Amino acid sequence: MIEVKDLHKALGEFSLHGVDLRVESGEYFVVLGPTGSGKTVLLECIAGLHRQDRGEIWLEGREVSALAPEQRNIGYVPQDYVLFPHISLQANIAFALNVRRRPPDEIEARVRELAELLHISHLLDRRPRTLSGGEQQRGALARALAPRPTLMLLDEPLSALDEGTRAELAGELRGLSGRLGTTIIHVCHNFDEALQLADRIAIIHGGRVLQVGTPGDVFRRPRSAFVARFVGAENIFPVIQRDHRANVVTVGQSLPLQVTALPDHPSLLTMIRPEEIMLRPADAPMPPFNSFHANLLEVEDRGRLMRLNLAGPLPLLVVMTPQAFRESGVAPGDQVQVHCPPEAVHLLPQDSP
Amino acid sequence: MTARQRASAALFRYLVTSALFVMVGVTTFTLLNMALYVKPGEFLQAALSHEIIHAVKLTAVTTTITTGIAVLLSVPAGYALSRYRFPLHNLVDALVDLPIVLPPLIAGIAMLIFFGSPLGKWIEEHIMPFVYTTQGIILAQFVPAGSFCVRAMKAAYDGVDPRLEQVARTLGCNERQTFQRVTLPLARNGLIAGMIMTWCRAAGEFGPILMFCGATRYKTEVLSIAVFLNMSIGQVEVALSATILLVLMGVAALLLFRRLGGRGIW
Repeated sequence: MIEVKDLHKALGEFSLHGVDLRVESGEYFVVLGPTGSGKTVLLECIAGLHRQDRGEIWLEGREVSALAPEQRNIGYVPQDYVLFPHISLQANIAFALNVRRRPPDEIEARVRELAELLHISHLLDRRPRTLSGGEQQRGALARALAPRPTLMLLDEPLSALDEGTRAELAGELRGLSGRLGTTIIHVCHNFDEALQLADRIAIIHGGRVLQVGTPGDVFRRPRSAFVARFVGAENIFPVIQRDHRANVVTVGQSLPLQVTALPDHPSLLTMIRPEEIMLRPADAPMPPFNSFHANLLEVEDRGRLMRLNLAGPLPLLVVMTPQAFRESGVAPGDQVQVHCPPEAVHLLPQDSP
Repeated sequence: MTARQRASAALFRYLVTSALFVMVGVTTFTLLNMALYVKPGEFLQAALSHEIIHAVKLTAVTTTITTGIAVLLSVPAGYALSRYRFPLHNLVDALVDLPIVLPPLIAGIAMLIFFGSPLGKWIEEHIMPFVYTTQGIILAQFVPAGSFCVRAMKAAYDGVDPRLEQVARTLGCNERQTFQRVTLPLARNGLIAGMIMTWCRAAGEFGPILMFCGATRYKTEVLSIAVFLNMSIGQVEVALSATILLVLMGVAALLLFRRLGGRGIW
């Protein structure tokens, strides 16, 4: 298990203000945050490249806070791979084992094994500068994996790659973590990437961890407005009034909505999940609560999903599959009936960081 | 693009390039003119004279030793200057550059005064004499050339991405191993280029040697001093031959420097 306790670090404009994290052994953990949120500083502190101002880092029951990077046995893959340009890919992968003076036949076997695992066996004699981005990324992964690190740190490993290579490597990263059982902390700013790879996600912003949870958890139950917006949540509206006895909140121009639970926080936002909203023709029967009329302004065909823009008491976005759209019997320009089930209405505090 | 815009773009390019040719032209013309002033026969005769051969040898020996000492100190010093942030870093950085920007003469005078002081005299008597000696030539070359060398080595290290060193650390290298396995091999061409430029700089040194070691025929007569001595007694052909040798050395060194990818020292 990797534990980061109350980590503080001021480093120019990037800083950490008391980061706490627990990552289980073998877990694929994604730290998600916008540019400047401090996620790279966090990674570099764990790797030992910066000394924290305060706080502790524990690795499998051993405190490593004061250790030099070379004493931590942590694999680190920086954002643009940074392969050693003066030696071949083979020598890059063998680097850590050469430093440890392992026997030549062991080094050769390990390099061959990793090269096969990452599909770069045919490139071993090449210099890094002659390799494509994806190939360099595989090389950097192999180089970091060679000494069997306790923990792998990946800094934006997919962001510099083209679309096809990215999807391919994402799949392989997931497979690698499963097959090798290595604990991985992966830093990125793209929620889709996190969704695809992570066992759990930590959302970091302004040097603080805002929320930790499974991808589904973070997406469906964001605990703050920032998290909600960052994971691409739509339909966020301030709560104007509320009735704690009836579990009803009022949003927009006096639209009452039934919710499942109403927190005590003084200032609330509602987030209505666009994929859980129901649409019906204007004359169809609807549940008596949380239903209202609206105009279907526009339908965007995004291939696998349709995005529907509604104007009414709330400017709503609704997402549905093409099939569900056909079955709903509504068309652009229609007046329609909208139903937001109470489970689809999520409440979150407004003034959190 | 209108004809007018095209004309203005062409004019700009023409003016900028002209300035470049004027600059290069002045150097080339004066140097060539000087070289042509001496007939090939005279040049050969002077270059092969006992005095000039001696001057070439003395120059080669002193500059090589100077460069050796400068490189030995600058390889670590340049690394420290490039990689570490210590108190008064800017001041130290400026002090390294000082001998480069000061008139070379001043270094000579400063050393002369130093060896007149009690500590300097003690060194002269108990360690080795410097004033008016071959060792003195080396010291007089070392002060500006050494500074220059630190600057050149720092530039070579600056060209190595520190993140390569960070990755090496995470792969198990301590600082010394990182230097040995990553920084040094990557800075190597820059270091060699810096070494060549330091050698040239030392070979061209004149002011401090004149001040500190005097201009004595055959004794402290490196090539630059030979030029001075022969000019002052009117042996223009001999002086020019020595000059041409210095120019040829300089051109060769610069070409080698470019070849090794040296850049950004100044």
